Amino acid sequence: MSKNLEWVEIYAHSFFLLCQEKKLNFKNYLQINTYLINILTKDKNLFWNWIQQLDHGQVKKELELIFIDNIDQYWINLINVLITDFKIDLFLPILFSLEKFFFQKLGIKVGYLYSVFALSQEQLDKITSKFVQKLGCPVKLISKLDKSLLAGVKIELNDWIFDNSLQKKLIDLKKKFVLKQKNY
Amino acid sequence: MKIKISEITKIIQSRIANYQFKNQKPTSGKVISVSDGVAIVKGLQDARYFEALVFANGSTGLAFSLEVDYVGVIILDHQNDIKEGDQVQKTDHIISISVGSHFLGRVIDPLCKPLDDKPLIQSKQMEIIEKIAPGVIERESVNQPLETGILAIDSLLPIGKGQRELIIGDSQTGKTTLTVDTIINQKGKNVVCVYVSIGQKTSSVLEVVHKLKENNALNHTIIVVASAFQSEAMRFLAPFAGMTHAEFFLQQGKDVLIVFDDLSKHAVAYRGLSLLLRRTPGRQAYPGDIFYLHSRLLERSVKLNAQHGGGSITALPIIETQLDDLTAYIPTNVISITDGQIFLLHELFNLGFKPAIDYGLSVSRVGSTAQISAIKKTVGSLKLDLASYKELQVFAQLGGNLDSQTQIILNHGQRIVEILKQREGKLLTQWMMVIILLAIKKKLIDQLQINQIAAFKKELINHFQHLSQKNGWIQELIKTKIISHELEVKILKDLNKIIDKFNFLNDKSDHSKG
Repeated sequence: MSKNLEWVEIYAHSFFLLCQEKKLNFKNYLQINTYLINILTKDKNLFWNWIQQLDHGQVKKELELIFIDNIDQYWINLINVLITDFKIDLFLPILFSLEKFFFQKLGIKVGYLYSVFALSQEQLDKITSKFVQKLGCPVKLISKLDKSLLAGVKIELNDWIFDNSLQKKLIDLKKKFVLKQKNY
Repeated sequence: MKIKISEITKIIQSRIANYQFKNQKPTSGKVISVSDGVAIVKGLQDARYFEALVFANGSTGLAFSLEVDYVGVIILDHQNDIKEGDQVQKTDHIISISVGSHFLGRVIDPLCKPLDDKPLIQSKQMEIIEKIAPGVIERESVNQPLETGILAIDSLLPIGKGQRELIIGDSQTGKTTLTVDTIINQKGKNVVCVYVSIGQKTSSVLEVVHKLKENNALNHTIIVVASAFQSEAMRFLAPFAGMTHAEFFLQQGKDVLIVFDDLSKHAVAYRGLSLLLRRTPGRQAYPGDIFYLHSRLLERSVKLNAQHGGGSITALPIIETQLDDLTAYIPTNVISITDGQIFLLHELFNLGFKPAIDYGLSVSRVGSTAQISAIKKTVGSLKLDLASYKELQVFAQLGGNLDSQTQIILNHGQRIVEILKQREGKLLTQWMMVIILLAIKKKLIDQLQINQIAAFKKELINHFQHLSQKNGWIQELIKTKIISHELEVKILKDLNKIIDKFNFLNDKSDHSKG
């Protein structure tokens, strides 16, 4: 693991432990985390401009102005510590790492939904609700693009794989033919 | 020793939980190296541009070059006492100098230490030397003349209050004389003058001081001196210090004239400092911001509108050229910054034309808006006449017969050039200029021999000066600065009398020859 990745894990774990210790509202924290990730991944330039201009004294004001109202003090402290340690460029990876910790804590099963074209939020919600019904626990599906599927979707959730893609069907067909040939 | 990740996590966790913002800005640094009036200081990451710094021995420094891991400091005094490793303290103040009206009549250095035999000046009012120039809202267009007392300038190249007019020429062409004469002419006109000497010989500065003293012009003048023997830092600061003094009077709604003698030496001082601080050299080794240095200085000269006090700062920067080359780097820079230039030619100076102005290359972009109505009316086609004279002069030099019309233009031009000659210190009032210009406009001078022009001018001045002391009608011109038709007729009558006197003398000499 590279040095930076190590630091990402350390900061994310420290913050998560703090949340546990202080018995903070994880649902709320996950919401803020997701919101920050959405904003910072949407426009990378905006993120860098924001990060580079950030000064210790301004963090709270900036966060409230640009992103979130009534943000918790611990978020501000995390950013301030990162600025002091010259590690603010790791903020986004830390948010991703934190997301995993929050999912785990809240018992949310995280899965990946692969598709050839980007799915709409409505379609994603529909599929997610089906899984929630089937598994009986909250589910979070992260949409990813995979053109090699040719058509259909593929879902990975924990050890469970649901593959409804054309690629899989063709592979199965190929296997069938090979098997028939062998039997002859 | 190996630190466990869990321990680090615990430390970071407690830091996030109890983070408190502390403003721990370093207030002192250490000298890493020192040479030629420049020190490299480490540990002053929060120093501001132009911030005053204090060295361990009490010397003052100026944060000049703010780099990522060090600050380049220019040392203003006692540079030989600074050692490597000395502490440097921040002051949190941009370098300021004391200003006030008690500086009038004094000769001081850029940091306001007296250079004359008078006591130290105590002033409570301090002003930052590097300021942003007034904006568009505070300004108004130049519309009042600044009387130089020099006929050629006031008639052909008028300078307005708030204008920036460059005086440019080779060495020994009368640049300083021209500006000193202008300062002398401000006596009794409620214009405060600031003369900034940059990199000049001490003897030259002394000459200027004596000349101003002799003409009782020192009382309305502040002389800021950074001589050739002083450090480059002082030479660099001098024009900014001078401008700060000028701005003090501007704030009081007064008109100020500031002379920078000269900005080419200022550019050289800035180049020296920049090279010592390892800034990237550009054309002729000047740093890239040399244009901005002069533009931000000269932009501070201004004509304020009535709501902002109505004061003005007129700047007369001087640039020394080499072999009359106007296209060198610094001259072209300053030409483009200023509102016109007066180009003095070495060749003309040697031929006895003083002021040695090249009327073709000189210009005042403010134009006749900065002239009194009477001059505007009488100056007529003077510049055009001079231009056609200069054009035909070249053909005349080739030899051959000239037609009568050409001869008339040449004769008139020769006489104009002759009458525009003005000796050092022989300054003219505006109304006197009106009379001389009227003599030119009506081509009365064409009736005289070229060698009679100087005598005619002298006679004219004496006659009208004598007349002004007793006659009512000339007072009308002095007060109203307007020339009516009746007044013009009266002046022409007197002028003709003087011309007749000279013509009579001519006839007499012709008869005696015959």
